[in-house]
Amino acid sequence: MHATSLSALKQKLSAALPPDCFIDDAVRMAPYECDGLSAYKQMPQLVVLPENVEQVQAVMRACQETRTPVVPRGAGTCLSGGATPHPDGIVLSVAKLNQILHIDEKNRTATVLPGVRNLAISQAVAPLGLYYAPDPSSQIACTIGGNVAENAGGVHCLKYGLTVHNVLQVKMVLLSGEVVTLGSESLDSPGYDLLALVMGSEGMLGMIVEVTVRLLPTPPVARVLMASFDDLGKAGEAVSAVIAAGIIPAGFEMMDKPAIRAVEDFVHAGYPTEAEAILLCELDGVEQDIEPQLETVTTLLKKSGAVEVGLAEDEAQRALFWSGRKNAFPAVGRISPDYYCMDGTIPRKALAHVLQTIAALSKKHGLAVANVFHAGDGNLHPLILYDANKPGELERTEEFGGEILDLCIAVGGTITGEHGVGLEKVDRMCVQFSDEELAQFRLIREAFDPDGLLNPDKAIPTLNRCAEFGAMHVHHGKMSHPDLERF
Amino acid sequence: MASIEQQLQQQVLQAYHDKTALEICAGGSKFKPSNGQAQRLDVLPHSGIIEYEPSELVMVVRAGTPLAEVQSALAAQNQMLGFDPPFASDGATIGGAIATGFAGAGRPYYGGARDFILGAKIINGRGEVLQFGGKVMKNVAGFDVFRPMAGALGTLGVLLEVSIRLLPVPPQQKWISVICEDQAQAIEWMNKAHFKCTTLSAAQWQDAAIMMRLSGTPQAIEYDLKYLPAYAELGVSSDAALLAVAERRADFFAGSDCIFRCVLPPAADPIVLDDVQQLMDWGGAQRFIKASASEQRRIEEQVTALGGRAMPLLPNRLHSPLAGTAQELFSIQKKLKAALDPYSIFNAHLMPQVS
Repeated sequence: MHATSLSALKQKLSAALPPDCFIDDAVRMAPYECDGLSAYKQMPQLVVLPENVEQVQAVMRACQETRTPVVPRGAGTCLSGGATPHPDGIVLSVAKLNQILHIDEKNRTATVLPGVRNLAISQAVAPLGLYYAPDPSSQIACTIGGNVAENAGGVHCLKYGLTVHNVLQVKMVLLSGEVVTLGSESLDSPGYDLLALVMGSEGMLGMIVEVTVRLLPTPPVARVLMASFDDLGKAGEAVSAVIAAGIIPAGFEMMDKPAIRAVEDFVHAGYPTEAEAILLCELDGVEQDIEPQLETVTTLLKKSGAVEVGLAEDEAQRALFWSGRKNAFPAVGRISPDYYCMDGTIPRKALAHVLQTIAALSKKHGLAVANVFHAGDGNLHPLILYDANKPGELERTEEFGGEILDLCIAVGGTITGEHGVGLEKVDRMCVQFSDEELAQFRLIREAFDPDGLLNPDKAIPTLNRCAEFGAMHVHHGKMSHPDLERF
Repeated sequence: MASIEQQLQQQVLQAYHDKTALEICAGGSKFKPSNGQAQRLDVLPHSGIIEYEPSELVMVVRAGTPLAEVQSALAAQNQMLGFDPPFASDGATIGGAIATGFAGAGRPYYGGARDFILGAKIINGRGEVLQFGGKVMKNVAGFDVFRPMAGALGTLGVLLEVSIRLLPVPPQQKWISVICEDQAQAIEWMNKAHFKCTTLSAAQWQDAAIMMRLSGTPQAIEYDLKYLPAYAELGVSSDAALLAVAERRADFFAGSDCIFRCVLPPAADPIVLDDVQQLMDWGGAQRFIKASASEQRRIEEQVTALGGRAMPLLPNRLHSPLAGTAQELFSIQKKLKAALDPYSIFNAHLMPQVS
């Protein structure tokens, strides 16, 4: 960025925001140089932390006038580089926009500023017997603004949906500085469903400044079963058997042996370390309803070949079972200098094939992999273990990861279930989508941000970028050169 | 011979080049064709279930497939569509159900068309065949362009195929009725029931009684019944009565008065008007008022003050998808439309004539 336009921007901003809303020294900006995908680092020109909506409007207008890129940032827990700064731009943080504005008990909604943490919403409404359902693993830290930008999921979304299903209304500041309200507190709103379009738009359409979420009654009882299997394929079939029986568990998670072992060493959750796979199946509701369902699920799991099925005896053990799953990423972080977390979704029936192929790729690349899986909704998180200090290993890891994503597309799935495209998977978008589809995304983006200054270079690749990437083209499961040997 | 998809694409390409309007039609269950000059684009022949794997809880289906065919295929596997789309017996198609986004009594408890759609293949206004979303539950690659198709009435593109998330049919249903003359009391009870009863799947109030549907396991329903005030169990299914409201053919909708449809937060206070009939659906979140057309302003004012909006139902016609849009959103809405359909060839008769 030219020094002159930076100083022009600073001048405009200083007129609208107090000095303690800026960070521009390298030391204090350092925490902002990356998000949860720490392999990508970039210093911004400036970090701006507005305290109210008017200030956000002023920042957006100033950035439009000085043509400065804006990278919105929640808690920075994004795993795809969605919040990685732009070298010529500012980071626009929601850190100071962290108040819960209003809780409407009768209509079961809460209206909050975007910097409110996901878990803080549930904590605030817990005395009313309510909670906010989407629960990404980072929920202790991640913000609702970031959740909207990423359409965050979590372990309970098979039954309770994603962010898009649990947010009624957002207020958003456009790059022009205008504030628009999308959605409403009613069940339908006039006009096209822009609210749905903004969900998961990765900060490219506007800056979220207020969110009204739907709250659900806290289920009186939640019980979790753990089943161990001597074969991954059987575990996959067990998941299908339960769902085909008409039971929608609140959470349905799978881990393979390397993940089980890493977790067990870390949190001592009581996982069977000899098993090839475990399933965690949570049912919630009222006691009288849960008991017979637990029996049915136990029978189905055993029929599908479970070696052992155990029920968490009390709330403490239930929390322990879940703590293993929720700590799977840090647990893997302990056994390997670095790990790379992938995030594809596949139709569940393809699970055995996909896991076998990942195992073969693991051998080919000489890199170990641990798999954790939101089994209920087909969202796979292979964790590739590598050492960034070994020359070439990160590159091999990225290649391995890319092949996993291509595989997800080939079996009818997607390159990202919940972590977003960000910087990380922007090239793979050229594989999942055609040139016309990508062009359509860009046109839609221009409807909101004609200047292309909001989170540039993320999520939607340019055609040039796709040409440079020159990937083998697997589009909608069809390879462009099916005669070539792939693995 | 060209496939039906190619024929439809060809027709759109031609209209794009000629800048002429197309009126998209399929089952014709919800409105009469306009009297305009637009050429018709008939999606009805583009029919058939493409993929249905019950254990995946997903169906991929061509847009012209009759809703009745979809529902019977699902029923055979003990599954259902979550958003209760109406007009199946009038020949409605799955594409039309998504395009209108009409939802039945289960809307507040299960979700709407926009919540259940997982992906769509469309033809945009440039004649390009595009696919967005997919057939998996979680997918955040690219903008969810498929979701705004729900309720857009075809004005953003022609739906060719949709993939839809499904629900298992609940093991049991019970219909109960609670006498309640006072509307404010009815609102309170329906909202309390939503909070307390996990099995509540419909709640309507008319003729001084609340009618609720409970869906779930026998044990869960038994548990919920304890929470409800003095109720009478209805011996027979009331799904037909619920559907009659969704299809606006219940007795309430008869007569020459105007019917105002109001959507508002479910616990909003009653709309107070003398000598008018009211019917509440969606647990209080959707209310119909039968009144003289001259009451429009008074109704709109009250409903707006309660955080909702009111619109009169039009006989055999639909409102524009942009009707009632706030001024500050109008320009983005128009730009979104232009991004997908630059010459406004799709269903131009439904688009407001504003430059």
